[in-house]
Amino acid sequence: MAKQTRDAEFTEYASARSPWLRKVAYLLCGDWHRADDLVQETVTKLYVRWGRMSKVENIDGYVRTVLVNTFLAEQRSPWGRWSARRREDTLPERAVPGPDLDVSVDLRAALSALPPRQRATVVLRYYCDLTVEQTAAAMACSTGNVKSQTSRGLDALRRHLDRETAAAVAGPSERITS
Amino acid sequence: MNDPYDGSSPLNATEQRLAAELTALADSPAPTAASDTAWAVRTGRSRLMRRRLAVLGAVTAVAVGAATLNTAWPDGRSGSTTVAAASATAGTAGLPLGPDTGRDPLVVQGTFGPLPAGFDTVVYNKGFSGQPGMSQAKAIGPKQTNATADFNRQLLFLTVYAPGVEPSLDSGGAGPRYRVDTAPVNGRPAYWVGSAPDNPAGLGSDWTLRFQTADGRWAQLQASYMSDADQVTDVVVQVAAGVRIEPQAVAMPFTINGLPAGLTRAGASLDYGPESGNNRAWEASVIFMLSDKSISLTAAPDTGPTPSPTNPFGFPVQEQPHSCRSSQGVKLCVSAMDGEAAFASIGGFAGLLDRVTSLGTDENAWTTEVIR
Repeated sequence: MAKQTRDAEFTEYASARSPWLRKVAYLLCGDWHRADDLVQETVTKLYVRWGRMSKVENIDGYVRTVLVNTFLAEQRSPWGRWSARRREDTLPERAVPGPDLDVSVDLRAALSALPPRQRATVVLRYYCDLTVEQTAAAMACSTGNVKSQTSRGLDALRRHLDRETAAAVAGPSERITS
Repeated sequence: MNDPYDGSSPLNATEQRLAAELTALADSPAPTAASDTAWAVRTGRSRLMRRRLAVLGAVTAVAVGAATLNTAWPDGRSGSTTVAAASATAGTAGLPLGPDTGRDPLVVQGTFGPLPAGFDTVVYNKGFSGQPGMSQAKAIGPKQTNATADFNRQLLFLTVYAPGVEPSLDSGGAGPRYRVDTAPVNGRPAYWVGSAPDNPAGLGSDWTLRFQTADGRWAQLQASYMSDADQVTDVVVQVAAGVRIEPQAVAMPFTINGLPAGLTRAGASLDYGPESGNNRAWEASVIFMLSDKSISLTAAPDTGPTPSPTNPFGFPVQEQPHSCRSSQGVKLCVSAMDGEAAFASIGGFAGLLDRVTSLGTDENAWTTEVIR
């Protein structure tokens, strides 16, 4: 009975939070299929530790940390790189129609050009709205490291953002394309 | 000093725009989600069960290993970074290596010598880095010190560069990196890849030592999730001094009676120690290609029947198409992401699996004459 209760509680939580985790994962990796894999691995790890979650004040924060570390570990892991490479070979990402496709594709490309830790820092700071200290805790690094990664990430993305700003000011007919 | 990135100031226009665009990107139309909570429950249960079994097994193995093996730093130093006695099923002590005869799919250019306490799992692989023929070695240690998260393990990565290749300081856009010279390793030049001219610490939380080997090639030892609290610089230098740089074939727990026509080797790996995949004592794999499709052969200790494919919630279970059999305590599986039909020309999964002979769980019976 205890196991059934535990599983039911876990399932309720994981089902409710998976869509949010999927979005964060997508911003980290830039590929919906890989995002699904990351979420799958993250909630599996969460299940293994679910018995201890009653002692965790912020389960959302905990599971987000698991997700980011799973993403970063994948970048280090030969298995992960192999899987990612095979995924890219066999499941090419298809463009999904949408109202802001140009902007989304451009930002996705700009994000993908960032080193993984910079990307994670930018996503945690500006999508998850975490403070420097919270980001440092999630990434197991110093606040100084978060600041420097944020600065570099923003510098790299500024070219994309400035271009979009210029395009918005110029209007659709004068959109800058290079 | 005003710091624009300290988080205490309101977002500027650029940051506001970035936040808005990130939200728009995350909310953009997406394919149907493929993750499955029920699958996570099933896999999580399996991991918990294996972890419990591994704990039971490790108690016996460590007791035997401590009594029979005596591994230590080359200079015999003692203290908090002394090397633990390796167990019979952990670390590199019991891992058979041999010369490259062309019959072993897992030939690596460098292997670990003595490792610090807690580094009880090694992983060797070839062909997984995206560069054909390149091998890597990884040692997995204790949990990261003083971390909020409790799942990061201290890691040491060993990379050996090809003859004549001078490793670059280019970080790929992650920021400037500097050569910070340090004391020679085994009498040969060595340097840290630092984040400043006088700071050996690397970008992020990594530490990277490069050192020249006896044959003139460069090798690199990278430490992740380690800090001053772990005496990271001392540990990395000591491990570097003990690595063995020469082509060595890693013994595998099976033989393959010839390869079906059209099948080519693409990669191989061996995880060896309690932190191996799925908490098994070890796991070996070879990946082959048939045209542009990959098919993998995996061997691991057979820990008994896997949990039922049905789950308590009635959801369908996702599994990569595979075929398995057990022999001499080893579970041998062939699987492919593209399914068995893509390999009809070689007789499907059985066309490969039927050629495989298990050598059992005793490492001393494993061989480097794998493909015969």
